[in-house]
Amino acid sequence: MTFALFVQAILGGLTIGGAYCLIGYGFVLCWRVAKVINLAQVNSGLFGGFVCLWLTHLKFPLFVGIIAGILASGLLGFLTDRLIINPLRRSKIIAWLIGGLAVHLLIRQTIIYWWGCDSFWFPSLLGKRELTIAIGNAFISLDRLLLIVVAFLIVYILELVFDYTMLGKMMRATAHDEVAAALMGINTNMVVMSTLILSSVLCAIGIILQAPFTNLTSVMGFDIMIKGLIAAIVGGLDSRRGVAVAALVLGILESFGGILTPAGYRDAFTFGMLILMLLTRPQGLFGKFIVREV
Amino acid sequence: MKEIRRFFALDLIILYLVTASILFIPLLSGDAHILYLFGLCGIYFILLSGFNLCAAVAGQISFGHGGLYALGAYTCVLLVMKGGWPWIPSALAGIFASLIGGIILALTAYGLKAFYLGMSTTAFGWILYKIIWAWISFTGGEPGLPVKPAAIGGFQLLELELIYIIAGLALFSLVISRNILNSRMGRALRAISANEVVAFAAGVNVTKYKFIIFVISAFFAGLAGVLYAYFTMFVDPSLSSLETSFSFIIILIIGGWASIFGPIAGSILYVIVPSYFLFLKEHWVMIWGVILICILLLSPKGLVGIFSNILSKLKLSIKFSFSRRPKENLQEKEIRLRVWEGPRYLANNEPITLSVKGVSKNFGGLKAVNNVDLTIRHGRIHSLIGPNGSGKTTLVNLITGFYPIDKGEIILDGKRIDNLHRHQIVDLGLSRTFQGANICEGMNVLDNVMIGRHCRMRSGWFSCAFATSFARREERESKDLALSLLKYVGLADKAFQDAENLGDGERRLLEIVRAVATNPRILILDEPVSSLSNEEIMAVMEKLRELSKQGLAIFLIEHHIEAVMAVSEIISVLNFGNKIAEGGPQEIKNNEDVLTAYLGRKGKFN
Repeated sequence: MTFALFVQAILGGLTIGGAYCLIGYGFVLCWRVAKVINLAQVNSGLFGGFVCLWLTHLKFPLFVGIIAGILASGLLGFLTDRLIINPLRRSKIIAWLIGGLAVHLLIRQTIIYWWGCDSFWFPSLLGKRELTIAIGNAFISLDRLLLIVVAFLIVYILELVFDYTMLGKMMRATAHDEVAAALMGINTNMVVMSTLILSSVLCAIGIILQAPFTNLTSVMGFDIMIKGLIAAIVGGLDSRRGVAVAALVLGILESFGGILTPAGYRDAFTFGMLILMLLTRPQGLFGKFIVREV
Repeated sequence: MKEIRRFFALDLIILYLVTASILFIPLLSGDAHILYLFGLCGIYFILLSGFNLCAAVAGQISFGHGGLYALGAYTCVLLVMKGGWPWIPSALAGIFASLIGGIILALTAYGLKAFYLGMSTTAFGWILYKIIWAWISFTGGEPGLPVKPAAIGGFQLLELELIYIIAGLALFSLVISRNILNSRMGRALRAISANEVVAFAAGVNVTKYKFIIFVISAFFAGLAGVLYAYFTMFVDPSLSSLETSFSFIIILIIGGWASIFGPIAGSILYVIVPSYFLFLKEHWVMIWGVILICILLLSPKGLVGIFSNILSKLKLSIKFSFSRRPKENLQEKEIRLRVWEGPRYLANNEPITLSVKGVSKNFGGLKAVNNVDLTIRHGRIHSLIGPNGSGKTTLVNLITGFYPIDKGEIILDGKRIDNLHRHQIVDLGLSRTFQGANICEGMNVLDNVMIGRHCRMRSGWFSCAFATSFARREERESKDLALSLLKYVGLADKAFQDAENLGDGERRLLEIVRAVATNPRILILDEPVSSLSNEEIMAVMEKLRELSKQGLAIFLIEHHIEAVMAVSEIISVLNFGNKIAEGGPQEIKNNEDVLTAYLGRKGKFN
């Protein structure tokens, strides 16, 4: 492996990692605040991506499409909360987990009805696809660079939001003890709802940012969901910062896996890492191990 | 008479109907399409009856059963095709491969909580899918492999023969899963999914049962996989895909989660209905999604739940439950016959001593329990009091093995028990209750007591699965004992009610009864009367006094000073994890340290 290839793999990994980071961060948020995993969130984001694509096909400017896409996925997050998570989140794990999966399927089918199963070309967010930056002999397109920068910027901003805004404090309070938070006058259902909307919006941003170089397919949501979930678990479901690190590690590992092994085995690296993690540190890289109260 | 009653039990009627249809439908119908659907239904049922026990009854949600299914199918097919093995050994090898896969998966998932178990099984199915998909030279890759008909000797198993084999095996799995549900093992599994902490306190070896049920379900998955390969004469990697694994869960939720009829209803719906609405072909995913959401929101028990609701609306008081409900008068008679004979000890009525020596436990920097010594002797009520946060419950958790101890030793009759597992400690005769009245909601009152008998019953998974006479006799005996205990505390008339409908006082009584049902030598009660009224408190205390007179040692943690003073022979006081006093009620009442700890200054209990 030449040095250029090595750098290229790292850069590719960072890009994939940025997308996983946004998606995994959404999972971690929901888990921390409401102890639920919303399996529909990635498809909500994907739906937003398709709304954006649709609007650009209608000759609207790209930023209009992006905003509309983000709004659409937020709306789907809201609907998921009203339909599934709010009624079911206090019952058994299987109810909300499979409920989210059902919504995931419904959104996927809707997209299939609308666009079919083909892969769609997505316009470059910076106007020109060919813009690249050379690092030694390796190249990275500006779109990819944008994804890496924006993803980690968003995570950084959200961390600030958590620490310094009222909504962030309400979310942290709900995460810590929902009953106590409710007694302090926090509308915890509203907090959970905003968390779900936020996580869907994060997925939409992730998907729109990676769309220029991965294209959009109506059935791609499931794979991305699984990868995001793995990033979240490897980082530790209760650790917001852990997911960013885990997503990068996962992305780079996958990128090297893609280069070093024949096609088709790339995902084995991801899942191998998951299994290794679950066997050795089920709470994740940065998760805390909690002594169970009885 | 008894035989007649058994005969008319509703689940048996359905069993006979299913048997009859299995025997006659293939004979009567020459229609190849119906035969095909029938066989497919049977295969799904075989898989789901095992999966139901694992995912629904025991709550071990797995997304990897598609992988186990594919493992069975591919192992068998490849052994016949590439290895030239005869069919029967390769079919057995296929099932065996699934078993091994299940064992590996269960071992790796050891100790993982619901969601993480889901993820590790997902990974298993996915990896297997990728291997089958990418290893084209061996497995045929994505297009799949056509399968030649199975042959035993020179005799070819065609569709009709296979249907009989499938029908027989489906019946077998129905009987097995029904037996398991109605046995000691089924009760333990339900307790694990309803409230794992209760299962631990009742002496259930939770890890072992999770493992066993996973492997049993892997067996059924492998069996179904082998049958599927030879019935449809085709295998492809999608058998192992996550979609397949998810579809099992979806079928089960729609059919009836954790119900014995769920797999039947689900597999019929999933296989047969779409085949009659072929024009909806590409819309089925959408339709399943909508049905699934409706079921989740409106009838968490699935189609079976809807059906039983309709029956109860029609005043047909038939309930689809796990334990057969005897008729009212019969129940009364049964109860009248039984009088509880008091605690029967493991090894006669020998005195017992539990010594806690220098035990410490730290949480982070907090010394929750610090160098505490205690001795609990049989036949007396020993109380532990102390202000909030003084480490009382932590001490109980240390004694009963719920927390590992940091320092010191706990000795029962000269034998160290602080390194034993929770269920082993229950086996030795230490039984406990919890502060918050921990009961298994969703199980009836009788089952909640019978789960306490678990550690005294001996039938293993084999006798449970095949309902041997030993298992049935043991089940009957423990039911009698549980009923007599319920009668002793006055809960017998509610024996067949759902435990979650009980009031607060009754829940606490039920918990005590469950603890007593384990035949304890030392009964450890963690705040058994908090939030009860004064009369209720005195009634409970009266029962405790009776129990201790019969030789049971009682270790009582309680805030209600009056009650403690009234019943205890010896009282220990904890404050900030340290034992500050020990002695008779009078002594404690006048102890300066205790008064300071409780009242903050010199004062007096009134």
